[in-house]
Amino acid sequence: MDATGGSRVSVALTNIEIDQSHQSAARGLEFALPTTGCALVTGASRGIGLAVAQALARGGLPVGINFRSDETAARAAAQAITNAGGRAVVVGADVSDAESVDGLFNALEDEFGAVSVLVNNAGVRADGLLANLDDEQWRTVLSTNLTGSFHTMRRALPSMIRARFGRIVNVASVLGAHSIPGVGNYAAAKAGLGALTRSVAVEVARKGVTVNAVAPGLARTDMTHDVAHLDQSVRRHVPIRRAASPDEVAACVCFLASTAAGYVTGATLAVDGGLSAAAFQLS
Amino acid sequence: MSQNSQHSQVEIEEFVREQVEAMGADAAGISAGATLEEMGLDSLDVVELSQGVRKELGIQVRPNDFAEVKSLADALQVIYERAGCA
Repeated sequence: MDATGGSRVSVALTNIEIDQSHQSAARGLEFALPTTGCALVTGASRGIGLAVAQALARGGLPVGINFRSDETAARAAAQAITNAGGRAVVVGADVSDAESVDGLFNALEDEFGAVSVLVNNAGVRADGLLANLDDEQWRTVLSTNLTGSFHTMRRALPSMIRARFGRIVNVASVLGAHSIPGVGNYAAAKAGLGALTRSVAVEVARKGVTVNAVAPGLARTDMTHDVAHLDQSVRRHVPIRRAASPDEVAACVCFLASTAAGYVTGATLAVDGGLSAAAFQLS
Repeated sequence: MSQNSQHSQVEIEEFVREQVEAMGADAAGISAGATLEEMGLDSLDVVELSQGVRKELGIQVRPNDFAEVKSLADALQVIYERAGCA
């Protein structure tokens, strides 16, 4: 069956767990996901990655749930997907290590076949003012958030090019284009990821492979639980006046991974409640 | 690293010619001495070709193996060497 045709599996986004007042907007949306191969979501044991893995699995794609350190959470995520009728395997790997990534892909290909949807979500933070930032803080963030995506894309692309079909979605950040103090390493990595997204997109577009990014603003995840004054910042700076749920980011990833988004490539979709569009708040 | 291929040079050449034609090269223009550029192919097509050789023929070539390749004959020579049938 062709990856883009035949009997399509639709993602009914009716299970999005967000505030009831916002649920109606998502109800009834349907995106057709590829019907061949599988999805790989890096950093999928929690937060946005977990929500993306669950959403893709609901759409019928077998999913590889990558984790680096929290195997227990990754196994729980895979079990939840299996219990819901989906297919998932846990694949541990540190994406900053190319050999580890190769092993990850080999294991996933043995289980589900070639990766047709790659979601680069794995990311870490090691905040600090640049004047105080040590080499390890810089290296850790760049090697996971940027180099990790290079490793996975390089490994995934030959099969996608051969298949003349592929979807790559990179999870960037509003901080790739707008910044705050203390996130120089993270911002540089995310800006680099945006540039990498555009560069690879133009390289492989004619082979049916799209490469896009989502740029979340403030999302309520484990990664932001320690962000000081999150609620106050959201109320003051985010035009929508609330943080995103991981499921709302996942919905946008699913669209970019869908066959419906076949003419979208090299784009970065802001999922930030208007944060990046705002100049400042009038008081 | 080379391997003992289960495929002859003739079989490999036939496969490669089919692949090159499927990528849009004009069949009449496909010859051993023709450059990839003359056949309308570029480095991205070489990635696709190498993946096809790996998956369909089981010969462990990588895109970088073709970095210095200029012609179809060059590409075939790389594959023969990797297949152990040069």
